[in-house]
Amino acid sequence: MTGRATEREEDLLEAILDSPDLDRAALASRLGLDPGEIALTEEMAVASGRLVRDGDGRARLSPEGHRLARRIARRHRTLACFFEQLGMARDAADREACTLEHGVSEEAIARLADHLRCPPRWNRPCEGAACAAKGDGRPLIEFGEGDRVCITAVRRCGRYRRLMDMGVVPGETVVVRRRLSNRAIVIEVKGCEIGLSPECAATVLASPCP
Amino acid sequence: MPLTVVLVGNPGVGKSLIFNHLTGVGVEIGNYPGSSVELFSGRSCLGGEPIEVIDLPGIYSLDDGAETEALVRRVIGNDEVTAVVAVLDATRLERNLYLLIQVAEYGRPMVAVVNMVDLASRRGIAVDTERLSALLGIPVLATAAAIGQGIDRILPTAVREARPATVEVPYDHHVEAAVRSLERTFGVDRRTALQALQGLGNDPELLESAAALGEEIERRHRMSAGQIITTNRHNHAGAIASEVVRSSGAGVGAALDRLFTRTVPGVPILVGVLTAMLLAVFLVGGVLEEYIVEAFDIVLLRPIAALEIHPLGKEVLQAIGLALQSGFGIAFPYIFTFYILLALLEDSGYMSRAAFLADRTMHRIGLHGEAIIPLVLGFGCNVPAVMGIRLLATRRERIIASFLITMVPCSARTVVISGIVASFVSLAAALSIYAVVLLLIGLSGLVLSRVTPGPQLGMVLEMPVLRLPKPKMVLLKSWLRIREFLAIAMPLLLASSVVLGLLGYFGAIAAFQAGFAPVSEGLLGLPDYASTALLFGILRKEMAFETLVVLAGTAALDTVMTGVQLYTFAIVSTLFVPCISTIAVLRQEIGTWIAAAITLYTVALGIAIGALVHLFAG
Repeated sequence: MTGRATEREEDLLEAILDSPDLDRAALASRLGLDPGEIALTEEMAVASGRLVRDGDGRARLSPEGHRLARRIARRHRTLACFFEQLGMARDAADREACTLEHGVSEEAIARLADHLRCPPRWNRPCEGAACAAKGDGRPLIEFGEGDRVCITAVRRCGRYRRLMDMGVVPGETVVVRRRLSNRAIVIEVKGCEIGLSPECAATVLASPCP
Repeated sequence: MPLTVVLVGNPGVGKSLIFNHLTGVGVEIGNYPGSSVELFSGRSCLGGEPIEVIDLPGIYSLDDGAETEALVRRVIGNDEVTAVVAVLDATRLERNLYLLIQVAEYGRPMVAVVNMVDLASRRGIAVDTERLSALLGIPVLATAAAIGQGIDRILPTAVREARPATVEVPYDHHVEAAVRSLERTFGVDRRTALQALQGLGNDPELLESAAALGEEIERRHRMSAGQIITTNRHNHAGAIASEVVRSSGAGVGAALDRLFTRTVPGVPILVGVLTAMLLAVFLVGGVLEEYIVEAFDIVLLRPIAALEIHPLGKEVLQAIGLALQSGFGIAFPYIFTFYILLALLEDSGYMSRAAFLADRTMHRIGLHGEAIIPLVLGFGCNVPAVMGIRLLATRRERIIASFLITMVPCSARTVVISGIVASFVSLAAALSIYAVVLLLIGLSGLVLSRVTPGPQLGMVLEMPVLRLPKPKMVLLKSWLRIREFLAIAMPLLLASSVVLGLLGYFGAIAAFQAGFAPVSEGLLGLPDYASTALLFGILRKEMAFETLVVLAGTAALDTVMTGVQLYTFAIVSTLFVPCISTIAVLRQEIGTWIAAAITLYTVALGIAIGALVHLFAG
């Protein structure tokens, strides 16, 4: 039988996806349940085909369970990221995401993820970038002419593919050559100068070179 | 199937120059089946055997979703290709190797050509081609295409010694694991698996599995599979480059460049350059046009007029003669001059500075800096300008640009404005038409950027090193462009000229004139024959002027029409309907619906503005 998974079952699958080797006790403490409840939830998931028992009786994700767990984990990441961007503390954002991840629709998540990757207006401040494209550092446009900086992250929106093909990838050292008042910049990367319009410059994060 | 050699490389590596050296003048521009991206191909021969040489468009990467990159992937993936020649810029070897590494993954027989070694050595850069050859596992040639050095070895090496490259990127082990898993599950090769991980390919099942694996990789690395693959390739290219490149010179950046990319004096320079270019086109074009038109009168039109044949036959011959006269009378003096100047600007590397500076303004009208090139091209002729919108990244930009380009006063419209308003009203009035049209372009852009759906991406633009253009390349480029113009516009010009001639012969024009009279006389305050002149403007804009002269029965237009009427006529014919060649190319590039929308929009705009002028000044 493969009915809709309960919230508890979804939480369990998600936890197994994240750390496949936790035992029942560890899972229980992580999810704030007692081991008996974990066992019961496991049985339900096995019955529904989302978990399978391996040789030594440990519950593993079935392909279907894996898909569902990934989906839930993605919802969690997206929601948590969103709340963090709104200014919530990481723990609070995580808790909020845990509650909402079970009810939210796929479309809402997809749209939210798009929004996080590419805020509709390019001049919106991008503190959230650390979350959408993991990395530290400041937007490239905040550096001055002549600064030698290390790229820490490139947000995956707009023309990021072209940027990466030009050599603007995390870890690369670039020099800011020109900075116009409209936040457009010219950088030197791999011996070539490339001009970035403001919306592209805003998607690149960098930190001063050590 | 003859031997086929394809040239692939980054934009601006001198590929076209090499291609030109290899093939001489017999260049064909064609579209690869199922693609609108243009390919240059030409013939050469080696030891009596013909070789087809194909110059692929310049690209930065094979793994981009855009149409151009997809075309290059298809050509390189074609088994019938004898050898792939990867052209590299010696001054930018590392980034050029990044593309070569991707091409190498196709396993085709390859040769690498390190071009611009002359420029590199002037800047203190030396490339060890022997070492590079050992690292890549393919023959490597050093060339300086600008002075023709080393070019003669390319084809013999490509045909006889090309072999699949042995260079292989060590990808991150998670990526390697994913690639192996896809290879096993779907029986695809390494390259297909790598592309699938980056979301490229046609097999939905493969893509879905690859997406799942990619998500897993992203979860571990906090970087997408595509980013990891790209970074690995860049690192490998960097490692190779560091082994073979010896550099003693300073970095890039000339003193001149400091001026071009600053707001001040960059923007005034930009405005000055563009204005000077347009003025030069008018001056040179005006002089040349007179001679060409005169020559056609003497050798073609007068003899036709003197023929004693059936009037219908005469009408057709005359229509053909007129089409040829004005086609060449516009094409060579105005458009060719314009193209030469534009090619000079492009080849010097100035246009990318211009695009960078213009980006902010273009942004307001929903475009990016890159769109300045087709827009400026539009001043020469709208037809190639509309073709130029292929360079733009999104359909949204292409739609906006095609609207705006069709409103740009091309050289034919300049003939109307200068012939009617500057001659009979005043120069200031003529310039005011430009001001009005440019203002309308800006306003239309503002509106279009709000109503056209689709995302607005940013601009990433390479700034090539500033250099002196090569006269031969400038001429060749201009010639290929004008040829394209003639190929598209001339047949249409001939056909529509004949159709209009026949319509006139059978009296349909008179009927149109009567039907359009309320608009022409009531709304615009123009004499009734002006509507026929406007109609002829659809053929070619400057025919509006010529027809008006014929119908008015005098070249001294100010004796039959008032200044306001002349002004109204000029502004309406400038705005109103793109010419038939432009409509055809719009249809080809952007689709029937948008082409129709543009046509209707310009008709409405032309009549509205004309009516306003009549209302307030008439």
